[in-house]
Formats: sequence, C-alpha cells, structure tokens
Amino acid sequence: MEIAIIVILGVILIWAYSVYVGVIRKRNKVQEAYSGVDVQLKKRHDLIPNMLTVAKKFMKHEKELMNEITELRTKAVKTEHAKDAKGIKKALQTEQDLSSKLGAFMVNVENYPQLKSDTTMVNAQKSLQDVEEHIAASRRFYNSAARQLNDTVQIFPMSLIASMVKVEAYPYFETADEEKANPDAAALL
Amino acid sequence: MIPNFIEKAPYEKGFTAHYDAHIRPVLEEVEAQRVAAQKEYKRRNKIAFIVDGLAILAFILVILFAPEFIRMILETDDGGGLIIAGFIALGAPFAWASAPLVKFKKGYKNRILPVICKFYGQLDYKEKNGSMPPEVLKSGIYPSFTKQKSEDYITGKYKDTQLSINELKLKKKSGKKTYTVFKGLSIVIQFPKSFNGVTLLRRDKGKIGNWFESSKNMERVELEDPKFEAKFEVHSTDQIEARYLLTTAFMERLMDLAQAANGTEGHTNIQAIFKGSSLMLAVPSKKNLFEPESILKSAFDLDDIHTFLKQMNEIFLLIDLLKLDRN
Repeated sequence: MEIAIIVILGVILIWAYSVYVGVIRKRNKVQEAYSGVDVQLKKRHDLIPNMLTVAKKFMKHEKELMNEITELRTKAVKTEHAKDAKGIKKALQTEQDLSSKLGAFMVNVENYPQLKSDTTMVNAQKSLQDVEEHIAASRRFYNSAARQLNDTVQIFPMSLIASMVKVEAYPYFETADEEKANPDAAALL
Repeated sequence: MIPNFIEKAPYEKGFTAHYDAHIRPVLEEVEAQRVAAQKEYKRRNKIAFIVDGLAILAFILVILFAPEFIRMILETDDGGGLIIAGFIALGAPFAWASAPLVKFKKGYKNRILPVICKFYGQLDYKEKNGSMPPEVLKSGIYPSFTKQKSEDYITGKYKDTQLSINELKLKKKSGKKTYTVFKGLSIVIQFPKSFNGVTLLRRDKGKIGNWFESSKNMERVELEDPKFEAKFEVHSTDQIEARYLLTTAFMERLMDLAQAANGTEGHTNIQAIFKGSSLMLAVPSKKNLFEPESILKSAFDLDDIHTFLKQMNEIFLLIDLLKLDRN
C-alpha cells in the first residue's frame, strides 16, 4: 500500500516536472519569437523619421497625421525590448495604432505625385515594404509560439503548474483593423 | 498544312510572331522526319516479331525433340542464367525496332526546344550537360541513390535571375535489383544574396515518417494554413525567415508548378530547400518532360508547345513571387 502511494506520488511529481519544463521552454520560445518581432519593429521605427522629413516638404496639409505618427513612434520606441506578457501587450497595441496611421499616411502619399516620385521616398517605401513583410513573418512565428504557450497555460491541469510558476498567457500580435477590412474599391476610385 | 499558333493564355503573348519566324519553317521537315521514323519503326517492329517468333519456335522445337540439350545447359554452372539471358535477349530486336523513335525524339528536342527557349531571351537548351552537381543531389530534397541520369538542360537568366532546369532520374541498387527512386524535374534558382538560414520543405509522411526524416539542427516550422500543413513538413534553422519565404502565395505557386509538371489536378508532390543563395526544387513527374508525347501525334499538333510554355510560366511565376529580380 505504501509502495503504491509512493509510486503514484512519484508519477505525479514526474508529470508536474515535465509540465513545468514544457511551460518554461514555451515561454522562452515566445520571448525568443518576440525578440525577432522587436528587431523588425525597430527597423520600422528607424525608417519613419526619414520618410516624414521628405514628406513634410510636400504634404503641407497633413501635419496632424505626421505629428500623430511621430508621437506614436516615440511611444513605440519606449516599448521596445519588452519581455513579459504585459509589456508585450502594451507594445503590440502601440504598434497596431502606428500601423494604422502609417497605412493612412501611405494612402495620402498617393495624392502627391511629386512626393510619390521622389527617389528618397521611393527607396524608403521599398524598404518599408520589405520590413512590413518581415514583420508579418515574425508575427506569424510569434503567434505560433504564443498559441502553444497559451494552450498549456489555459488548459487544466497544466494551468495549475503554470500559475504556480507565474507564467501567464501572452497576447497575440494581431493586424490593425484597417488591414483586416476588405478594401472598398469605390472609395479608392 | 502547318497550323497557326493560337495564343491561349496571357503568358503566350507574343509567341505567335516567334513561332512564325523560327518554328513554322522547321515544322514541315520535323513532321516528315516523324512520318519516316514511324514508318521505319513499323517495318522494324514486324521484323522483330518474326525474329522473336522464330527464336521461340526454335526453343520449343528443341524442348520437344532434343530435351537433353536443354538439360545439358541447365547442368552447367551458369545454365539457369543462360536460359534467363536468352529470354531477355528476345527484347533486343524490339530495342532495335525502337531506335528510329528514340532518334526522332532526340532530333525533335534538339530542333524545337532551343528555338522555344530563345523566346525567353536568355535561356539555352542542351540535351546533355554532364553529371548533376553533388551539392544539389545531396541537398536533402532527393532520396539516396546509386546511379543518376540527367538530360534536357535549360539554363540561363529570367529577369536577371540565374536558373537551371533539367530532367533527372535517380536509381538505387538493392541487392540484385535496381529501383527508380526519383524521376522528374530538378530546378535550381540563384538568389542575388544568401539566405540567413536553411529552410527545407518536404512531403508530409505522417508522424512516424516525419520523425524518421527529422533534420538535425533544424526546428519544425508549423504552417498556419491547414491545407499546406497536411501536405508538407517544413524545417528551418531560422523560423522567421522560413515564414517570410513560405507565404501562402508561394505555397500555392509551388503546388501549381507540381501540377503543371504532371499535367494532373491534385498532384502536389514537390520538395524544396532554400540554402546558401539557392532555391532548389525537386518536382517528381511520371511523364518525360520536354519530349513529344507520342510519335503517333503529328508535329503539327502544337499541344506539346503549349504544355512546355505552361511549365516554364509556372517557374517564372515562382521567381516573380520571390522577387528575385529585386536587389
């Protein structure tokens, strides 16, 4: 009888330890994945000032939008290198807002033919497009890692172990609402 | 009568002028060669049937009237082998009969394919080009083999992107038997710059098959689209780069390429690796690509040309998608 209890306890301990190891590994993977996202977001932040400097010469009526972008960029730079779930959630929210405003900015650039054909602007747009594609790829990796961690953290009984070691669910990196919505062709014409 | 080329798809735009200038003048000669080859094949085939018929009759007569001769052969050390070799030798007359067909097919390829390739500006065709480079055959997308045979090389540039395409057949010896382990297209596309990591895309072989073939130092990459996740198994040394490269659009293009090579819907067996500065593709196909479908089909039937243009278009679309023409 005593031996049976010891064996059962042993099995539970082994199971608990393997879940603990799994949770920590998955959390580390999420953080590793987010660092990849962070690298790309930093590249985007670095591109913005040059673009705005060129745009200011031509887009005299878009000052409000450009100021909003500058403010959001400053806020986003402060949230770089986030590690925990709360920090990442805040950073992702800021990035979503920044993406939204950048999208509006790019649409407005189309209304300024001189700006559109400016060499610096063209190069910056190409670089930005490449960075956005890398952000999309790193987002997919981050979301995949977050999903695996969140499945463990939120499903009983693994959630017990996760809460004991204070590992929480991480937010998903979602696209901005404007990117999700289908484009209205009539509005563009 | 030599037919006009009718452009059936957007990627065939402009081919009519090229066809009128370079292919139409040779088609009549090619068709005459095909008819002559077919006639010669039929003549030789009749002879082969007669020769084999006589050989079999002789063998039967020996069994009936001189069985001790057969017994004597069987009692020698190589007796069994000799009898088997005798049966195999029955195939020799038919191989001789097929020689005009083989010659015609080679001639067709060497006349028509280089001219079609010129339509694309910087592509050349060669029937033979030596052995395949070992770094391609040992890249991880081909099975192990003991013998290789490659032909029909198309090399050159598309929009400043270096590419090479060829037909490849790999065989493996197992005991006394030899099996074909790969038959299809080998495609190598050169990028302007190197990749950060190595990304390998293989056919999904189920949990056990995948585990056996799992790659060292590479992590599994989960594809979000369940359609692709069910068909392919992806490993990479760089998770982000793998997702950057393997977008939904790219995966669709890969499957379209596999279907174009096989001429059937639903055939999506293709493997790929991004390594160094190359994208290498292994596209299995049961058909002999870049060859006329049948000697019975007139050279004036232009379906083979349409098929070839479609296959090339799929490869170019892949390159366009990967934006290889960008620096």
